[in-house]
Amino acid sequence: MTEPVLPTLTDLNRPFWEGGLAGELRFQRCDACGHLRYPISTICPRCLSGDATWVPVSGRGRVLTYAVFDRAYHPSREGRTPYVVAIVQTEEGPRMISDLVECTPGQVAVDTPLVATFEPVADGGFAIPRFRLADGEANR
Amino acid sequence: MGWSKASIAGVGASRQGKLPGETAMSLATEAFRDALADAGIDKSEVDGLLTMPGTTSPEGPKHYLALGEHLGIDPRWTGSLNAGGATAGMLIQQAALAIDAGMASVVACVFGDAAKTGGSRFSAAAGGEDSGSWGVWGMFGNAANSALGARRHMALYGTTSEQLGWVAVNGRRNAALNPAAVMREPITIADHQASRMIVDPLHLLDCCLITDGGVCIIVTSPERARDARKPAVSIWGMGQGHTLQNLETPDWWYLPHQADCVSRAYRMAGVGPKDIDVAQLYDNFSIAVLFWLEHAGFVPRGESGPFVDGGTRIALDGELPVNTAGGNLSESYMQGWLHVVEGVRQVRGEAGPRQVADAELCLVTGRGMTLNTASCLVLGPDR
Repeated sequence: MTEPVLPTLTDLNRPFWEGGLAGELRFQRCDACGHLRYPISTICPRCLSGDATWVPVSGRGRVLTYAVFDRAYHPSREGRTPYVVAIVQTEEGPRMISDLVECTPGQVAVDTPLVATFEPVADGGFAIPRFRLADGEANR
Repeated sequence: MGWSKASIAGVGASRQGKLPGETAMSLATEAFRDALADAGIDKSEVDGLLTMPGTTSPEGPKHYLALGEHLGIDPRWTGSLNAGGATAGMLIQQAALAIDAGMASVVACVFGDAAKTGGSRFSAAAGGEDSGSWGVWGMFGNAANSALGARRHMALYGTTSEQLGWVAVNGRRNAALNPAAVMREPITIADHQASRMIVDPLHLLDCCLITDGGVCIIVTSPERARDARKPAVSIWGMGQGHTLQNLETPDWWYLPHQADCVSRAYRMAGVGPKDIDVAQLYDNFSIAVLFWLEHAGFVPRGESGPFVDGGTRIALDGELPVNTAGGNLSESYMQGWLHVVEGVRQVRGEAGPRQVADAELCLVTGRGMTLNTASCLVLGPDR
């Protein structure tokens, strides 16, 4: 297995990646209009305000749709196939791209309930949020 | 009829396929020569140059500078644009508007790419290579976005992989009648099902080719086009739509901007889906054709799977012939530029064995990037 793809931490995105150490999925909430947003941005795409506060969300969501990678198209995924990548519709509104862990492709369907899980990186400086099936879903 | 304030006077293409030794520039040049010959227009008349850099064009956004120098053109209207498979339509629209405004009289829209032999990578992380990259979550390659769209379409509407296969079979069937097409060997649904999975639910035969080639479209005034060598093809209507916000858009997977794009062009042309005789629908992946059939109003939402099933309705003699030259799946992957060429040929009535009888109006669509850009043209006779 080769090295995973890691994000580059910046002052802007650090709260997102460090949230995982506290077991929290965090999004930015616009201080001006209240819009909860993802992807991470310096401004609100609705009102253009640059003021935002990082807030924890439930980490719960559903599979909006998904695709199964039977082959590795990048060294980081060699030996880790098959795997599932989904658009996750979070309970609070924003959508994320994430792989689904601790499951087989056959356990995944559109609308399957999910919950965030956090994978600490080697040096422990942050943790990558990923999604797994919500409790009870794996036994369906 | 329709807007019709600009026309296409010439279309040209280089050889297509695997062309070792050729470059994006040499292939664009070959297409440019071919288009001028098709139009019967001399290079000295070309006063507009709009270009799309190929994936192997080293110039990037300065592509027009290099191509203008290379082709010996000092234009009064120029630029380069890259919106993936929507670019051809968008540049033709820029050309048409410039002509209508009197800012250019003959505009060459040019593309060339040595994607097959030039080492292009189509497996990069979707979402870019920067810190916001989706590569962290294993989202790699151009097929992934379309696979996500296909999966939800299947879940909501019962669309099947075999139905996607009919899009591939139809494209190959038409390519067999196109001497310029790269892939002409017939395929069956069984072949489609047996082809390897690229990103589930998309098989290899759901995916476009990767090819070397170039394409050029000559846009001019209706008056000038009437004096050209071939019958003028009029731009009745044109449209764009873009969902640049991707994940911020709740139903991004369904690409709602594509419906806006086509309805804008219909309105401009004064026509509707029932008036369209033949359609060149951008097919980077088979599922794209199903989305377009719905977005262009040929079928209600969710009913494109049954429409393509069996391949008869989209065949050359069907109620809506689709991708009559073979499309990206079988003709060549010129990112939609050849879809425009084929639209022009169908309206001219010069498509030979694959000519759709009495074809007058052709819809040509394009889409690109993270499937968030879209453009379209309604092409028709000049009268």
